[in-house]
Amino acid sequence: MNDIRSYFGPGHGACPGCGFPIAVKITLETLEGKAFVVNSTGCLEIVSSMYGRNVWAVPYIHSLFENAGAVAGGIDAALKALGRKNEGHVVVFAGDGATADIGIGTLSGMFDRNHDVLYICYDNEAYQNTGNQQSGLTPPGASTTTTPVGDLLPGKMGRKKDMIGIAVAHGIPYVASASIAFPNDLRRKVKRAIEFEGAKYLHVHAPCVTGWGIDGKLTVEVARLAVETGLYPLVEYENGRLVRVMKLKKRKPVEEYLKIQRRFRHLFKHPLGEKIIKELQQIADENVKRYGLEDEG
Amino acid sequence: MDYNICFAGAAGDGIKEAGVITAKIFSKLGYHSFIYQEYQSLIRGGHNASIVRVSDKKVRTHRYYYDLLICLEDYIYKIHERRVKGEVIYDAKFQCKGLAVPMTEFVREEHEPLIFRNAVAIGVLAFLFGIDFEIVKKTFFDEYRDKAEADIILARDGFEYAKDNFEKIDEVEKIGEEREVYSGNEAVAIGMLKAGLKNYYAYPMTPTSPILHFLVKRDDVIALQAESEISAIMMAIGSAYAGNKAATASSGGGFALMTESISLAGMAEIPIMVVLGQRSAPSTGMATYTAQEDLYFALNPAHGEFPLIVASPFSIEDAFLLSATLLNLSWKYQTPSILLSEKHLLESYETVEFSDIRNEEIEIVRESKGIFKRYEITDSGVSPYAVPPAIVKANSNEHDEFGITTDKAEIAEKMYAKRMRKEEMIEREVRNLEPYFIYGRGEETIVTWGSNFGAVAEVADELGFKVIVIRFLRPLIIPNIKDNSICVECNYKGLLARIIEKEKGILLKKILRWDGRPFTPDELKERIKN
Repeated sequence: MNDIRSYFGPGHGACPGCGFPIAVKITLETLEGKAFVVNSTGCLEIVSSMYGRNVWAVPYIHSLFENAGAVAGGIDAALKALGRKNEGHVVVFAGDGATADIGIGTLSGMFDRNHDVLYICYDNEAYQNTGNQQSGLTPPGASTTTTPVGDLLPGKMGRKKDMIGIAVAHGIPYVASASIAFPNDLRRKVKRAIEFEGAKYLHVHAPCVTGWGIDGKLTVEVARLAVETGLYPLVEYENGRLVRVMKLKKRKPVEEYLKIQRRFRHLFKHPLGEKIIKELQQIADENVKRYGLEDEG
Repeated sequence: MDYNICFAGAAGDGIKEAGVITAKIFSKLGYHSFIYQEYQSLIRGGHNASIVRVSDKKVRTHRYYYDLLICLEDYIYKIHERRVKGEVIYDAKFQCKGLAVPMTEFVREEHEPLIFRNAVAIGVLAFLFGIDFEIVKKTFFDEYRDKAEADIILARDGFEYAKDNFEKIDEVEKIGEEREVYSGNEAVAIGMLKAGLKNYYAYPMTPTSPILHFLVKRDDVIALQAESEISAIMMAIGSAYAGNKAATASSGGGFALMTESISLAGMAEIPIMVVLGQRSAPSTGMATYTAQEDLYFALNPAHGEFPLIVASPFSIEDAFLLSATLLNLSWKYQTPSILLSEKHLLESYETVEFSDIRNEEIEIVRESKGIFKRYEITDSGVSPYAVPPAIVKANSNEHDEFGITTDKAEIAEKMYAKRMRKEEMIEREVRNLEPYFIYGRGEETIVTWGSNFGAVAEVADELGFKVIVIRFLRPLIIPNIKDNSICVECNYKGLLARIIEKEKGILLKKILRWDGRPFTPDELKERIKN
């Protein structure tokens, strides 16, 4: 594998400025290509295993939509039985819909059996390849094709599912959140994760240029603002204990994150927009308290 | 007048929208139209095409050869070159044969993204066909309202450029009142609403997602996105149990997840309707291409015997009619129904006139003294329908008349037979609901089902065939068909043909394709002649 310059690409079909290829490349580089990749149906699958081309330079299985956890568990069990654990890490790449909605059952089973699997959810906060439908990880107020803005509703109602909390509650050895805006932090977390035997969950925030309505040049900036406003906290749990968080030196108001995305633009005019913005600010404030994101005093 | 116009470009070029706007421009002048949308499962790049057929006569299909190609990317020209039998309009940013239009330049001048090249192209097209620009302007406005401005400015740029540089192809005049253009998915949604749909649940999957997109914007129905297809159908079952007409939709993969629930609906006698939009399979297949490969799956989707109604529409107008009919039938007989269609029908557009159909409401009991006799044994097999707060026990286990679980042989024998008796009533009713449709006259017959009818009917008109299109597939009522007739389907084995052969003891000539593309009249004619 040493002569392969890139483990992912060139030639993937993601939009210019798409967030998740950064996460995939960093992960595979950190693992030096020693990965058996399981990939759920979703944007990543569409842009990397397309007509006439597959851009993965590692073993790759597309596992349909809801089954990545189970398929990865099966690969892990086989490698164990065959005494071939040293050949590579079992790594899942799944989107937010595959992870938090349709695939949460098989994910939970994989966690529960504590398979030696690194599960990475790239979170672009909606079903982007089928036409920007909301998922359980779409934040409140976002406009999607299935939560359209109308006179009554200002986009998605309800909260973004707490996948970190759900993963931690399974008692697996390593759970962390990361962002494509902080590549060094992501790299370190992948490295740290594979030091643990058992199930590892890494949740990576990755903006979608078309679904979120942002300029392709601003992907990293938007992802950074999600962290800097406290809406998307970067945290790390080992054996159920919160061990590290990324501290926020000067926290920004959520409006700074919202105003540069088309999916939130209506919040600044809709009669219920102000209420939703307050709600989002409250979520950020709660995150700060819950994870201790700001130094006291 | 009959033109076949193709817009071709990459994903993100607004090809689909250009096709719809063009059809709507012609429909404003009273013309009939049909649009075939072909696209790849891609985020960007690749190849999208929208083939718009417009005519002064009713059209139900696109044609293979183009009278006009509007090409927005150089590498895409090669794919379509052999189908061009007329003019080509292309973006002057690349070299091609035909009429160069500086689309990219116009869009840049207006500081708009490249997706707006489609508006320039529509302006050029309008001039070439001698269409008044006001019609173009009005069509954009009706479609995009306050967001139409940039499209109108760029369409005018195209229109003026064409006026200065090109000759007209035709002078298209208004021939009648404006016609309405709907997609198959929209027709299904409207049909279900007509029959009283109150709750709709779905999980994203091509080709039926647009039904959900359409329904979430309405305030006369609760439409929600579930977290999986299992959830979607079970939410529909929950709503129907609670007394509301409910439905869901998916394609083969998602439908597979629904099958256990369909069996539950059969056992607990809960009326639900499922739209199964077929696409190329097995598994993910070619996710955005059409097929008719799931016929046997739809006829036998789940474990056990229970009454099930399956029907397949042969046109967009029929999709409206059958979705309303099936939702009504499900409630009348308290059993699941499946509208079996395909990508080619659901995602295509056509000028339509919807017929009249009403919401057939059944009597619903809403209170009870003690446990309601929900599964009362009746001659017809249909028991009174009751919903909470009446005390209704719905049960996946075999049960007695009160819905209490049983393993007694004599009760099981009677209850099972009661459910199955409904099949006889359903069959009697379906016989009067046009279980098959006969079109045209001829010595020889072509049998088909689903959206193939568009191409088949056109070939039959030309070559003098009679067409039998099967609408209801379960119960299946087949008219007399002569030995050696032709059967046209989009699958490998001739799934419907094999059923007909067994039932009627005849042999059929099978004309089949399974490459994900729908038949065009041109291709079908060749196949029939050879």
